[in-house]
Amino acid sequence: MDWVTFGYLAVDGLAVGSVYALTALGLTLVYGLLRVLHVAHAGVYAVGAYGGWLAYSATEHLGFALAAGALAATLFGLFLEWWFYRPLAGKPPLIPLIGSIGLFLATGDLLRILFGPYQQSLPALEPRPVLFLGAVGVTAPQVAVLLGTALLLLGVYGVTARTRLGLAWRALAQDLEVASALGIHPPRHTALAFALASALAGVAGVLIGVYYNQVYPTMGDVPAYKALAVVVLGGLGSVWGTVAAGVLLGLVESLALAFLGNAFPPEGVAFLALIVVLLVRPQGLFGR
Amino acid sequence: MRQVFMALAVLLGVALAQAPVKVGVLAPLSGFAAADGRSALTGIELAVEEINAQGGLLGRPVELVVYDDQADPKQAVNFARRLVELDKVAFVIGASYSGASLAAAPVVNEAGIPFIAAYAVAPDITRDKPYVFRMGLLGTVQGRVGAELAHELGAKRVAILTIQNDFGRALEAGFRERAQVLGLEIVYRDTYPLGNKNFTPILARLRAARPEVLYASAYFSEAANLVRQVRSLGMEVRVIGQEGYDSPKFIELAGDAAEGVLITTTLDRDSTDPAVQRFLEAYRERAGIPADMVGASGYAAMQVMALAAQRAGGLDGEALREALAQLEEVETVVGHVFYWTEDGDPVKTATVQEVREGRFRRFMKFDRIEVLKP
Repeated sequence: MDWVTFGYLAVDGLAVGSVYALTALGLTLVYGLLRVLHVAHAGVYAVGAYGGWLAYSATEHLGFALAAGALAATLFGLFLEWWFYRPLAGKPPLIPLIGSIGLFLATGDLLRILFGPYQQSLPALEPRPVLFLGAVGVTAPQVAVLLGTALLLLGVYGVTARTRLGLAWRALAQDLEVASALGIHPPRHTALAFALASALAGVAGVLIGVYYNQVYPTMGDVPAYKALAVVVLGGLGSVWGTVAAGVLLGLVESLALAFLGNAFPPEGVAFLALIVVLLVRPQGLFGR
Repeated sequence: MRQVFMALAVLLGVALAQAPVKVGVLAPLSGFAAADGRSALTGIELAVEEINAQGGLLGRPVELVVYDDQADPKQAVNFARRLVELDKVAFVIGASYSGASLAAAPVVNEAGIPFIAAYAVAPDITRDKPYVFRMGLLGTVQGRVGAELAHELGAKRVAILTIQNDFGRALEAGFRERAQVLGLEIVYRDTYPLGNKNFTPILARLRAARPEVLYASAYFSEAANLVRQVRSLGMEVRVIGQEGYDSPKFIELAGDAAEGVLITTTLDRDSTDPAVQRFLEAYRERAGIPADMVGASGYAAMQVMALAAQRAGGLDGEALREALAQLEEVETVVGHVFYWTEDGDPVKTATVQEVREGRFRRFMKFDRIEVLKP
């Protein structure tokens, strides 16, 4: 394989991987605090994409689309937290998990009923090379995805590692009872973490909508299980592990497809990697 | 007293004459194929409206019994059974994909009720089932037309990218068969799964093989991503697709990248046939978007069944089957059907459409029977 082909693969893998990271990051935050695998997170992602699509249709402005996507996803996520997860707090983890799968399926069909089954177009950026690294062209959607993800990841790192809010979240994740005794109000913080996680999913939804120029009801189907694989791969609850696992998965998928062809479906790469990593490091790549 | 009896008899007669003709429809209205299911159903509904406005079928209004099979074979079988056992439909239109149609067709066939697959391409749907017919062009036939087109364009080096299902396999088989006859060199070949979004890894390798034409099977949402990513890699290759691309949504989603893409299909937007233009307009008015091949095939399937029922003069399954088998030289919105083969597959014209200025326009008409025969 020549260097140009490899370059194209690397850029593509990085861009796709960073969106995996963005989608899975919210899931990690929710898991860290609530200890539930929030499958409906992929539904929140689809709702965000639709919010972005509606805003873009009205304004033709990518910035508004991203903001609207984040807002729609945040509101929907908060609604789920308040109406669904909160009443189930303290129940065995299987109960919210199964309910969450149902919620996810219902969200896809709700979007279909509201907006129709057709793919909607979100043509904010043309897929033309705008930047050349040697002979390798990088397209505007790739730049947007890479830049957007990098900024958001830094933001999330800032919040979780450098603020009192992040400290409170880490305390809650470590020991809920002691943290409450020290004056941290769990419901408020859970809601806040949910809001942040959902906003990230919403932005990821809009970015993917722009990247492929498609927004559709079942767009959460693949992220629903792939994000789970990324979260487990990275070590449940580990922010950096999730980011590394997401980016790595994007790269490996891209290269695996190019080298191995479609001998097995590319969607299988995540789970193959998951099996291998769990055999060697049961706690995940960055888990402790 | 006698007058009262007369009046009652007339009323009863009218009521009997107006008992609706029930027509079964299996279409994927939710799930991954929901967009195609919606289009096909819209086409069928338009045809039914027209038939009812003209006094109905054999003097009786047509009523649709629609089930959402989600393009899932299991559901299609259950609903097919329901249609023939509980709903007692006169005939069934299979407005679903190959998998679901393959599952539903035998059930309907065994009940002695005619079934017409509107756009499913798998050859086996009609095999050894006397009551099962097809409206769409077989995948293998369309593949052959694709190879003819590549030859017509003067290409020697071609790449093939195949979607991993019956549709893709049938297209590739037809393309290869004809490519060999025409002396085309296949310089690259790969497959991808349904629903694939990211073609860049495959295309990056394909790029190195330097083909002049890329023959790629896909449905419109994959196709849109495919041609966008061809553009993003700066490739000059000419893309030939087929009826899976045939949707206004393909052009909308692919944007500028769709320009110059050629597809082999059956709906000719530039047809001078007034019936085609009338259909295109009626569809746009009803659906709010331009018609696609799937919608047009649903419409044509309903019309062909109605035509056969009129020829048969009744709705008896055997008579209807007989009439369908004997139809020939039928003009439909999805091509001129020369005749139906013994298997129930149509031998009909194809059209090549090119995307120009954001619309499908006719590139050439294809009517060489020796290539079009299944």
